[in-house]
Amino acid sequence: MIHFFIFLPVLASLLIFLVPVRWREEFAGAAAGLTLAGGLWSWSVGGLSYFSIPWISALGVTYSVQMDGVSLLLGLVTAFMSLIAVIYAGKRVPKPGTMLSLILMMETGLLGIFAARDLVLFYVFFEDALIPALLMLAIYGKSQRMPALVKFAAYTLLGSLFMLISIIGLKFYGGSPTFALADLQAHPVTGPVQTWLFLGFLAAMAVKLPLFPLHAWLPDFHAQNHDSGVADVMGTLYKVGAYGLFRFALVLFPDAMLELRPILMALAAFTALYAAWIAFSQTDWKRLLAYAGLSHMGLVGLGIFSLNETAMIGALFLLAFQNVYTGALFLATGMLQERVGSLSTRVGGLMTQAGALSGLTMTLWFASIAVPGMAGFIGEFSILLGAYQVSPWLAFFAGLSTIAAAAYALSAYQTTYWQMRPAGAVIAHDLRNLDWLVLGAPIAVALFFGIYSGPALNLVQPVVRAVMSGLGSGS
Amino acid sequence: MPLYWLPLLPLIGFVLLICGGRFLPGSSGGWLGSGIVGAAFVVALLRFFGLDAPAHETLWTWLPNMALGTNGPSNLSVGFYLDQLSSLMTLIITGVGFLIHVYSISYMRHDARFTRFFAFLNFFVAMMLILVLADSYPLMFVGWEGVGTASYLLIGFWFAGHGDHSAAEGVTNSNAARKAFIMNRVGDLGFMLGMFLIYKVFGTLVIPELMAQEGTLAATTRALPELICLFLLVGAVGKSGQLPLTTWLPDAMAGPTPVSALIHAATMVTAGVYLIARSHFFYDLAPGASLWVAWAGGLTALYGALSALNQTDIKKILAYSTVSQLGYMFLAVGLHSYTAAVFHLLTHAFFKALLFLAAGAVIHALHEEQDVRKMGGLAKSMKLTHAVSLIGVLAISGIPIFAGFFSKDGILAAAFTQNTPLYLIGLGVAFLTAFYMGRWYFLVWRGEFRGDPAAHPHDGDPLLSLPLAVLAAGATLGGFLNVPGFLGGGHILDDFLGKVLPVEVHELPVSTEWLITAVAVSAALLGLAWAYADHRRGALQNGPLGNVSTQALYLDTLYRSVVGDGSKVISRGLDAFDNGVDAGMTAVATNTGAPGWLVTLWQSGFVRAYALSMLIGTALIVGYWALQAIGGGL
Repeated sequence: MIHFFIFLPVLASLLIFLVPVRWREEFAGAAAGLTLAGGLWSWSVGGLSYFSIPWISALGVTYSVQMDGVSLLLGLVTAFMSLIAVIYAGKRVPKPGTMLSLILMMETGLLGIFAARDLVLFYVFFEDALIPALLMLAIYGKSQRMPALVKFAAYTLLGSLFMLISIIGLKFYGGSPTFALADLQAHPVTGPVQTWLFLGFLAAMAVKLPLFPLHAWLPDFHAQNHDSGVADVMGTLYKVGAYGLFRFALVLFPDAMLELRPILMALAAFTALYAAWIAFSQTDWKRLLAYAGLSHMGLVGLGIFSLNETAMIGALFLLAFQNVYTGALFLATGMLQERVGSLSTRVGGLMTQAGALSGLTMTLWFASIAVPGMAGFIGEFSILLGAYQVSPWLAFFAGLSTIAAAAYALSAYQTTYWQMRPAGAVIAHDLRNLDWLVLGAPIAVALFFGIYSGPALNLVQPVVRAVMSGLGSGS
Repeated sequence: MPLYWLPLLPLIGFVLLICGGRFLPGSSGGWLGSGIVGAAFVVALLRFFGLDAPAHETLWTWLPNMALGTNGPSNLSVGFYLDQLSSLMTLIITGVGFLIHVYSISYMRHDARFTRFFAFLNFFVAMMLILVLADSYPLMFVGWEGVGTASYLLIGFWFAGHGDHSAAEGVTNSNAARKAFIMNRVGDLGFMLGMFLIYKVFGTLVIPELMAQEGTLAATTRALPELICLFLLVGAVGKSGQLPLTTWLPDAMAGPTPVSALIHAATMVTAGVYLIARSHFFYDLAPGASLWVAWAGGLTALYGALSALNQTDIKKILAYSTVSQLGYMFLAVGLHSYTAAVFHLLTHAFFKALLFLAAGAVIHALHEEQDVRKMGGLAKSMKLTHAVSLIGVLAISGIPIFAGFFSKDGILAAAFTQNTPLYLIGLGVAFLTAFYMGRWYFLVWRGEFRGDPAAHPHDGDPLLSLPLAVLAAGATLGGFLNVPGFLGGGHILDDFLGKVLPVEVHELPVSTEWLITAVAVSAALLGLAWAYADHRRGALQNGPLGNVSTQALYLDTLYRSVVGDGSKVISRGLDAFDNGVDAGMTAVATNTGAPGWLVTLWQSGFVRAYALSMLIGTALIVGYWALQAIGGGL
């Protein structure tokens, strides 16, 4: 079952080219839907248990996967948002076959990242997901896509290279027989070597978190991707740095993380506020969303790096659910562009013509700026509360980003959707058919888990508790 | 009836109205919204009469690790807590809320987004009920930000101007809504920090659990409760429009008048007072922070009163008056006179909602005219509205038997016994209040009509008038709930609230009590007399202090230029810096790549060059082996 869940999308992404052109949307939708159904089924049976066989015995590489707890939550969110992306891409992108195939291919990479329990396997999936991301940018991007692509690829690949070295070093210095996480954990590396290996691992994760100053690829990546925002949804899901840090770094480099905690927390808090403040002066919705996402990721990083249980639960919760509403906001931006032909934040008065689109977009923005009752609040509040127990000043500093978030979100919202529609501007039509589902379903998810957080919390909390008790330091 | 019905009912109303708006013809949406708040009022009444010991009902788990468990922290649940204080608040919210809903059916009748208006009002009522019923600070925060969101939506209800047809008005209204939200967020950060510190000290955020820890609390160092209270004060100040976070409240008048009455006068803005009263167990241990509260209140009362002196907008005068009256309440809670503050909160809800709704009736009758200089003489044509306005003015000025007299007297007496400077400020504000409300009254109702001669103002229909009449009754009789002892009354309200709030008993000789009352009433009479004298001279249109008052002591200008423009400049600066970071990284990459160009020279494509390379390479390897052999031989 677990292999079905991971590899069904990539299988579909290849088979889609055998399907007649007019059935491709339905085919991709069915595949993504089936994957989500598989995920939901695994949830109902309490997750998919550990599976491990040797893969390249000579090198000690194993194929070890598991889908439960945090991985399952992130996997479910990935499957859900991939389905939404497939639905919207089928509707919006002309001749969407290639795009759909790339989305599904990327979905497998992402699910693999969350399922992998072997570091080399993790690395393989990590790089695997990069290829469709690059192709989407290359095929569907805008005029300045090549510089953006080079930048994105250079940052990611360079980071991954350091990670690979550090993965190899981990086995070498620890003397583990395989690269499986359980084995590596049983043969820990200690002392200064651990710190150096952690820095190598951190390089890849900081690029993918992203963390200041390794974030410069992000705004260009989003700004140059296709107007529909579909690729941005997948790009948002691809920000797996925090997950990698939690899953691997925390158990393999606990001393190094504790040692570097003040610096990393400060860097994350700085990222949160810095990005939020920059978002305030953006006039392109996609760049604004990129910086908004960066700011959230700063908070996620703060939660992970604080090594506080509550903050870490919040960080993983936020990481999972910001995918939902940030992704949906990218699609809402795509709908905006579809109607007015512009991504500018100075369009004006859209609510007078497209009330439902504007209303749902506003709801998503409220989710994004962590208005309580939405899922984002549980994450942000727990992060800040936990971080405060470790470092009150940094929590305060990062907390300032909640004010800045209100400023950038509402300012841009106001000049696009409120105020008066300029005379002579095109008439924007309201939501139609599937548009409702594309925006409505993510809102429903964000609301449901914001109010009734228990089911999601039950996936995150035990795992975090287990990991933290393994560290021996409660907070 | 379980407590969750209270917020759930208006929440259902919100969902029905927002999703099914297009299926609700005419004013049926308004009736639905009003009916549902009426039903919530009935629930609140039932629970009020059934109230004995505090009720605590929990639902499902919500936040990780934020409550006490048997071993280690447990997850915090969504739960509701009803005691005398929150019960009184639910009655005010649903009662006054219901009246304002009914009023709005008539007031908003011609609006294109009629049903949506009621959806937002329902949403507000639901959030406000969550705020007062919450059993934990985070859940209170849900309501806290929820009412802020509702306030944002309703201030910006005419986001494109009336009838979507005024660009300039659209910008003003939208800006006002945004400003309210952002300034509230500043306060919310303070509230959050307060919660974080509470958690750090007590390991829980559940209010009944915290109350049970009073012993631990008293044992902590004094600095901790002080700091907690200061953090919470920041939150309270933001929500209640106190100094220094006051400037959003006057701007909030951009919303429709029923919104101003419900949210920005009667209920939401009093949430700060509620928060402090609810957290009294912290403030009782924090004399320093309490004094800060009192001074924030006293200074805001003065600030609001001075700013109200020379306003020309019929609603702006009332808005600054609200700022000022909220200052009184803060003054009282800061002096630990919680019951006096809640009493004033109650009477203020009556008379200020009344005044706003009356102002709405005037604006309606004069076709959206809000400038008091273009009114006058309306007493003749709008008899009922005039009568209730007069009651409102007398009540807020503190003229005996009307509600404001009793509640303001309680606050002044508390200030007199504890803090003379604050008492003097309170007295001065009472005088100024009487003056500017007198000015409001005479400019609108007396003299000759100065507006458009074509207008034919008249009283509103029964839907407009009925809520006015009910509120007027409240503003007249509400004071008798708490008649002070020396006037021979029973403290019904003090006794009621005394079960959960500490009641401050001041031991004053009866003669002193009489003196305080006499001084306060003469201050009020003096203020009204001053307004009347100016009215006779025809000098009311230009109030005292000129532009300083009109511009609200230039506080908003200061914020706009320093904070507003400042943060924009910083933002642009950071944006440029971020491009610099990007360029810096690119430069590093370029420089790292540069030596690669040297290597390309080597790959010239000439076979002779490659042959030479091979030769050199072979020579080097051979040489290395030779050296090794020699080394081995040594």
